[in-house]
Amino acid sequence: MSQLLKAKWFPSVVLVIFFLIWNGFFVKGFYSAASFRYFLNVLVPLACIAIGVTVTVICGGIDLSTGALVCVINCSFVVLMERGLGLGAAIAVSMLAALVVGVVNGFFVAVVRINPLLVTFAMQTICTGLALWIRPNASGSGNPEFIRWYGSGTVLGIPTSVLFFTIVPLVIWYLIKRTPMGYWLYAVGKDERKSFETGINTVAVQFFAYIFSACMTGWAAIAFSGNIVGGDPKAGLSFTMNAIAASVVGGAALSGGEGDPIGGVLGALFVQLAIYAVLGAKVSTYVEELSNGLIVLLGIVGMMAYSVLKNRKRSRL
Amino acid sequence: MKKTDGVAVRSNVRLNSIHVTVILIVVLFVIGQGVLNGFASIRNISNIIAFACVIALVAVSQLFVMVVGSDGNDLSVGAIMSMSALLFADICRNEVARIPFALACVLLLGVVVELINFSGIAFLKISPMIMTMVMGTVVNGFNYFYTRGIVSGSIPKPIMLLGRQIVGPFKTIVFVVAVILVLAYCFLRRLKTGKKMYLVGSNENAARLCGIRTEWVKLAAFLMSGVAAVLAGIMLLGLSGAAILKMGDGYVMMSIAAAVIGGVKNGEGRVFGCFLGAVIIQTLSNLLIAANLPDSLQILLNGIVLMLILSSFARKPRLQS
Amino acid sequence: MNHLKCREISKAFGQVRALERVSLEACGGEILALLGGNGSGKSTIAKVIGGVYQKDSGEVMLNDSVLNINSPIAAKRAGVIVTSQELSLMDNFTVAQNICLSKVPVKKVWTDGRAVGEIAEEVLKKCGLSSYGGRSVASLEENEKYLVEFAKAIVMKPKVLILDEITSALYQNDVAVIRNILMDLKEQGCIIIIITHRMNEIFDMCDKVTVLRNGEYVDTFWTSEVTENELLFAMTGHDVRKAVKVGEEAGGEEERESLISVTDHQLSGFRGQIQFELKKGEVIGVAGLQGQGQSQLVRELFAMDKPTQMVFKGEPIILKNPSDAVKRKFAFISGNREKEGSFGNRSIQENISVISDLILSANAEAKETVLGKYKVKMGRITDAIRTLSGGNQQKVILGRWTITNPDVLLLDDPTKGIDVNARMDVHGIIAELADQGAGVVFVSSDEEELIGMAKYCHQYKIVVMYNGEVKKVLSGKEMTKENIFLYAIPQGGDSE
Repeated sequence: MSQLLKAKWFPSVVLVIFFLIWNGFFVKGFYSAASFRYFLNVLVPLACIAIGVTVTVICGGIDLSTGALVCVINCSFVVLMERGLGLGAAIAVSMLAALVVGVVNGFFVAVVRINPLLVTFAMQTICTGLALWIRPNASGSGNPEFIRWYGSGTVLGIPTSVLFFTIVPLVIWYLIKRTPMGYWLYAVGKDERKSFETGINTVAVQFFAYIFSACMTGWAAIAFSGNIVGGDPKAGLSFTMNAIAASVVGGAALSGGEGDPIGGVLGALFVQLAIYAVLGAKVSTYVEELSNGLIVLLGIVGMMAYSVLKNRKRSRL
Repeated sequence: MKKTDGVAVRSNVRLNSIHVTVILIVVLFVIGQGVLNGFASIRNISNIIAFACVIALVAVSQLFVMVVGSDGNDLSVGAIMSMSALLFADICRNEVARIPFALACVLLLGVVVELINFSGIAFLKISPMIMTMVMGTVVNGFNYFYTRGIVSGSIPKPIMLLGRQIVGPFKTIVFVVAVILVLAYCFLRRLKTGKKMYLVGSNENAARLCGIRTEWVKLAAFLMSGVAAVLAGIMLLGLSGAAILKMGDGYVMMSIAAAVIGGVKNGEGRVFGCFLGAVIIQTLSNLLIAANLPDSLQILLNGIVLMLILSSFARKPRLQS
Repeated sequence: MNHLKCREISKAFGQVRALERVSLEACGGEILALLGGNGSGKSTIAKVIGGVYQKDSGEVMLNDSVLNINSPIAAKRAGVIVTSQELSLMDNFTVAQNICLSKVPVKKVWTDGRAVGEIAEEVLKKCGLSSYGGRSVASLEENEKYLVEFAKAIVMKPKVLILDEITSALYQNDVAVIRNILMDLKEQGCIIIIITHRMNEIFDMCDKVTVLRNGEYVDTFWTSEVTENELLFAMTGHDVRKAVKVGEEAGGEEERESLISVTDHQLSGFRGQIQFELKKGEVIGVAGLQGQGQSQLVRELFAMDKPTQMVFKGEPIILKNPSDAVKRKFAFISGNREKEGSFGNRSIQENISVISDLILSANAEAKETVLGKYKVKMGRITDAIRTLSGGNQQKVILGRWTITNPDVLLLDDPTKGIDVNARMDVHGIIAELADQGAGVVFVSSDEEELIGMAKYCHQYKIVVMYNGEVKKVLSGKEMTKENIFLYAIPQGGDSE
């Protein structure tokens, strides 16, 4: 039991359970089949991004470009299909685009050595512009079959959205964690200089982290395209902050070297549940944006306060 | 000059970077004139300088936070600007008599926001960029909540005057902002707290060992940043004649770029440099408009320019000695 | 037999010449000790061979082929492993994971978790730490951490192994364990270089010993043929037989007012307790090997990292932080300008007036007068301080404190990396302050400097520290380099 309490993602489990219960009572029809499935469909892209962002945080950095990248990939995915590309080809090209963004982020962080916060912030601006250029106004209808498959398909009883866009990424992460790269990501995040002196290739490791994050974001954008109709150059922007809150609540330390993407998924679950709780309270739309911001703020502040207090107790012992 | 510690430094290096900046501005105007006839006209220059004044104020906001160190940036300035503009217009309700009260309200709010920023950064060890980014979202949400999406169109006359030309081609705003910039300069260079900010940013540990209460100094920096952002919002209100939700968002990136060009970093930064950096950014922005580029490409190019500026001015040292 | 050869390696850090054309040779099947005082360059050359520092000139050759080691990755590839005095262990991994971090065992592409445990257990058992693999680094004792660091190095099966002061935190039986392992490695032809200051270890474990002094190569001896005195002579350049043993004290101590007094104070990182007293007008030099608590002493007297209890001018007080200390007219000057003294990109003027203008608002001597008195060579007072040479920078930093007439001056290697003439100027300034009634604690890693201070000061003594305690107080004619070394280096029977 004490092992469980010590797990970094324990607070997020508590929060998730709390809101699962709360939403059951206060959000009308939350657990009805269709409603709950829709909730999951909305959650899945955020969870997928949180997996990627958590890895950059573990590696000692952060990725602020995720929201804008979702917009870019969503718009280009839709545009490619409108221009006649098949679903498979469109996915492949979109993932390739995401990969390129990851490489650029990695380059400026690891080689040019600019603060990751500033690099990904600049990249966010670039992607925002790119998305608007590809699709200036939200429009299009996307691929109806894909939307149907994503929205209501199941495989062996598991929703396709959850299976392919959260469970599969988690599995991929765990496969990576079981390679030496898994160790190296945590090492570089904990202490870049010590890792360097131990003979670890810190440049390659950092490249990997940002490429992984961008690919996860690209994959999440595909999921997102299955959830909204058409391409929207602005709809994904809130992912950036929500994914970071998800990572932090999930136990990833912003200083690096600690955390796990499963925590990020739990954190994403918390954020989405909290957003629904606010919606369920039927507050006016004018409060929505504010309350979403407060959810992120309180999530991050609460988690950081929790770890500061925990550390103080430990050092006093 | 002696070679010391491998760094051959000439004390004139400040002047050189100002020269370069000025030359850059001239070059941009020449290019602009080539792209669109009338770019280098007095009217356009006056316009550019007016809007550059707003950027300069926000850049000074960044200056406070960046000078004091720890690679901090304030990403909430845009939202604070919007809040300041929206609430000021709303509280004033077109009555000149209510201006001082409205000013006091928005200044208080701005200070409170920065106080929260500082608390998260200092006590909870949340990195400055993330804390301010989150607060920015919260403030934007608050703005929407407060205004119910209805934007007040009535702005008191004195504020509207900011956008009018009074002395030759120069608009009122230039003089008002000039005064504010001079005050900022005096604070930073003459008052003890201001001077301490540079030292804390230059070497926080050494500052602490000299007996400086570094946390209080950093708090002061954040509060000043808030004040500058609030004032910038009011300036923007007067210049553009309307208060629009999220009108300040684009200024975050521009303020960072302007500050970085102006030579602002840990322990260093000049108010005048921020002004020049602001002029460059505004000129560049106008250039993109003159070239008839769509909004999206303008944003895209702004992002690329920021990345290039960071690559030139904001690199971390190598791992090996 | 494997053969490592360093030819004319030079390395400078800015103005400081850490290595000056050092040549070194080590063979497989022999253990070489690298001996030298503080600042002799032994750590630097280890880091150069290990790829952590880039050398300025010279060559490193292994078996007659030149090694191009420009990073730790390249060093690892060449089979060169260097442990550093700072541990490389990370506390977010278990002991076993830390040990295997440099070379993670793989089965096809996957980390072989079982192999990690097995490999770690095998080497931990040799080190006497069986079953430690699953433990967290934070739960280890200090000596256990160094043993794990050692395990991490040998698990790589290096061709060249350099151990930098790995035994400093170890108990006798730990050292014996390491000795046995090194003997095995030696037989396998590994080239082993040990940096240590413990004479008994040198004679017990090593076949040869190379002595460095002031960044230069002095000589190499067979341990079977050399005496301890000869080694000390090589290290210091002085004949130890001239060492004056205890007995000759300086003539009567005048009654002076006590400034600071601490009793039974435990310096952080050490087990022992220290008693220390500083009187008005007195200068106390603090000597000893690096890392024996001298630095901690002055820092804790300044309340740098945590509050300190002390008796100040007869009153018991608690200093909570440096701000408190400065208000009570304490001054702290460190030789680590970059991290603790210099506001590099700020002007000389700002650097010198920090305390007087911003903190104490005291009436101070004009800055130009002080700068002139200290003979600071500079351009304009508005130039950035980093345009000055190290010595002049340090003088400005000193000036920042002295113009406020402090009561207590706490110095931690204040003349580090500055040239001889500047040093003499600084010594004069310190002595002058003492004459005006200040109390000075002068920590230095340069024994000659500490001894030289006696010329300037009226009331002067040297305390030699080891392991967080004062081992010996030297005054008058006792203050010689040989005596300092005698008490600074634990002798054969000295166990922890």
